[in-house]
Order: sequence, then structure tokens, then C-alpha cells
Amino acid sequence: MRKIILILLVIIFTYLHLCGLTQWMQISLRNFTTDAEHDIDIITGATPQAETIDTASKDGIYWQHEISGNLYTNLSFTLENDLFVSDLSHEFKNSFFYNDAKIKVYYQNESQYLKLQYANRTYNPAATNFLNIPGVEHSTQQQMVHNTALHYKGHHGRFFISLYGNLRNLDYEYLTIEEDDVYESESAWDNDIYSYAEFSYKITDIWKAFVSGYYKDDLNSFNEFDDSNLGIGLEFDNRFDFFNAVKTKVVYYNKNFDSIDDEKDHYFLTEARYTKRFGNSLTGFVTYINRSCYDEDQSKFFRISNMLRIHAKYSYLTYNMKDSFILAGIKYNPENEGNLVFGEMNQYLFKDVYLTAGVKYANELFGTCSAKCEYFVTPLRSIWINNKFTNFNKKSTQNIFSLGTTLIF
Amino acid sequence: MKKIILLVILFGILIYIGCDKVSNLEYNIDSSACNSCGECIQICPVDAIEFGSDGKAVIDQTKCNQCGKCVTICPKDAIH
Repeated sequence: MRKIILILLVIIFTYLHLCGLTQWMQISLRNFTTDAEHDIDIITGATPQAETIDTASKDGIYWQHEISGNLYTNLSFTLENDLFVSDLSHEFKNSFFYNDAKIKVYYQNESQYLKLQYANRTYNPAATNFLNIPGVEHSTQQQMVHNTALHYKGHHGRFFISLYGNLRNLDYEYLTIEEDDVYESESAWDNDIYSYAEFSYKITDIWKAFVSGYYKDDLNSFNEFDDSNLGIGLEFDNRFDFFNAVKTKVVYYNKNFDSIDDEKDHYFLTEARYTKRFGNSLTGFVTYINRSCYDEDQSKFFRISNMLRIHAKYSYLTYNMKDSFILAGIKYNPENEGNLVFGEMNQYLFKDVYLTAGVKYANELFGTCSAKCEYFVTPLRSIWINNKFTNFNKKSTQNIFSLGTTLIF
Repeated sequence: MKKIILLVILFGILIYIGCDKVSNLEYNIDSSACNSCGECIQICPVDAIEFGSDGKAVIDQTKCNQCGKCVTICPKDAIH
């Protein structure tokens, strides 16, 4: 069995090389340190990469940092920074330079939780977008996004409250393009305020009723892109026993947004999730989400979308198979043509060598297959080879071949 | 438990068979499947996706132009 898998792996990589599809190298270094005295964790990682899309190749680097720790009792913080730089933009990364920075401060005790967050996203050169901004009919290039958010959650007995506010500022360049030449460029900005409040009451241990309100104010427009809704719902969440659990939620929203059709004013959301364990090895779940609306003018219900997702996972629990598993699933989403089948396996081969493989196929969207072989020199250090090939609706192909190492100190 | 599951199944069948599809498409994110990776935020050409209060991605329907790029890029297939 192991020999067959290895032979198959060699054949796949040889085939991909012969097809000229593998021009990709990745070295991933990840360093994790803990300062026990001050309770501060630091994670850094760098990933240089080269990638081929159709005939174009791209070089770039990911650089990630995360610092987290406690300031005082109940008060903690996190700093995150993800930087991506490459020499070519393409459909999936619309800028050469992309930096995402976040500062979060948390306060938490037994009954309350407060989070203050500032996030900044920077693009350079700016990503060309087609922003839906009133009065802007031409291309725009977004330069920077600022997000400042405050989130509070608290409970008293059976009452729960959640409050959220987010001020979002987008800096962009307004372009007027004529015959592929930009002849006018002007700096501009767009501000949005998002706010949300939810009050819930736990009727019993398994039933919860809630009301919610959402309001978005597009500060640049005159109500055209404003959005608000009021919701009322009921939630059922019960773990019957070790083998069965059900969670369902039904919500009615009264929506009010001027930019979207009135037929969605009366909006219904139904979610259901059933989790089942068949013994210790086989687990699975079924999720169903329905969105519907009632149109007053036509006195008729309409379906917006249905999504059904089924997962099944078989884990090898014997000691000599370590963390091996096989996973398979489908996603059925007829309204948005998002039907999907997928499978994944993680197989312990021999002497700390693992093989991970996956396939995914979405009709009319994409097909992808991947394989990764990893050797753990020690439990904290490994070397690996990885290949992922994706065909986007028979229009474009992407191949990623990687050779790397993971080090945890 | 069986009654609840049966009710949900019946509800789904009833909606699917008995109701017409709404005239314009709408994409949403299954928050239980979203892993907050942010790939959809980077790819969105109209800047319509942001992280919500729970740290999961949320689509601003007033900005979304239903291009479907986020559906393709999502590693957890959470967008439907």
C-alpha cells in the first residue's frame, strides 16, 4: 500500500514537471517563542514563493508576525501583521504589495467581554477596483482601509447582550480612463458606519429567543447605500448525548435598504445543523441553510438560496496510524450554482512520514487536486513537498509546487 | 430530535418545490464554516467584504456585485 502511494506520488510530480507546470518553490519558516516571565507569545514566519499561472510566473514573499500577551489581569492584547509582496498581480491578489495590520485589546471577566480593535489594510501600487460608490462611475484604485471596531458582550442571569460598532474609512484614487490612458486622477475617501445590537433571553437550557438590530450608514451618500434591519428569532441548541447534537435557528428580518429590491424586505433565515458520531471513528454532520423572502406586492414567497452541506470523516484510532483520517463531503447550492464535491485524506505512511491529499470539484467553477508529503524529523520540525493544481473553469490553470520546512522553537 | 429534523427537511422541500427563485442573486457566508483567512476580502473587486463582530467575514449586500470570485477562492467553501 505504502509503495503504491509513493509510486503514484512520483508519477504525479513527474507528469506535472513534464507538462511544464511546476515553477514554484516555497520555503516556510515559522518561529514560536514564549516569554514565560511576561506571558508574551511571539510568532514569526516568512514564505518566499514563485508561482505559475498559465504561462506567467510570479515571485513574492509572505511575512507574518503575531505578538500576544497579558497587560493586566483580564486585560490582554494581540498585534498581527501580514505582509505580501510580489512582482506580479493577478486575479487572486489584486495588488503587488498588501499589508494587513491589526491591534486588538481585550477585557474579559466572568460575565463581560470587551474588544477594541484597529485594523489597517494597505495596497501599493493601489488595487484597481470598481467600487460601488455613488457618483463614481469610473475605475477606482483603493489605497488604504482603516477599521476601528468596538465589541461588547455581557450576560446577567438568562439575559445576554451583544453590541458592535465599526467605523470604516476607505482611501482611494478616482480615475478617469480614456483609451487605456488615465487622464485624470483624484484622491477621495468613503466612510461607512456599521452597528449591530442583539438582546437574547435563554428560555431554557436549549431554547433561546433573540431580537437584533443592524444599521449601516454610508456617510458619503444620501441614504442610497444605507442599510438597516430588525430581526427576531428562535434558537434550539441541544447535545442529546455523546453521539447526537442538533442546532437550529429561525430568524425573521425586516430589511430596509434602498439599493436592493423591495422583494427582500421580509427576509427569513433558517439554519439547521445535525452532528452525528457513529462510534469513535466515524463522525459526520449535515448543515442546511435556507434564505427566503416574502414579497408583499405579489403576496408570494420566493427562495433566495438553499445550501446543503454533508461531511463524513473516518479517523484511524489505532496507535500505529497516528492522526490518519479520510474525509469526504458535498455542498449542494442550486440557486448560486455552487455545487461541490470534495475529499481529503491524511495517511501515516511509515517512520514519521505523512501523506496528505485532496480533491475538489465545483461544476462550472473549478477543479483542484493537491498532495503533500511531510517528514517529521522531530515532533516540532518537519520537511515537506507539496503540489496543488487548479483548473478554473477550463479558462485558466494555476500550479503551485512547494518544498519547505517548518521549525517550531 | 427526530421531529425537529423532519420539520426542517419538510420546510426545505416545501420552499424548494413551492417557491420561485428570487430575481437577483445573493451571496452569503456560512459563519460556522468560515476560518477568517481573509482571502475573500483580498479578492473582492468592489470591496464588499469585511470581518464582522465575531471575526468572520461578512458580505455587505449594498456593495456586492455578485461576481462570485469569493466563492472560487474560499478555502473552506463557506460562501454560498
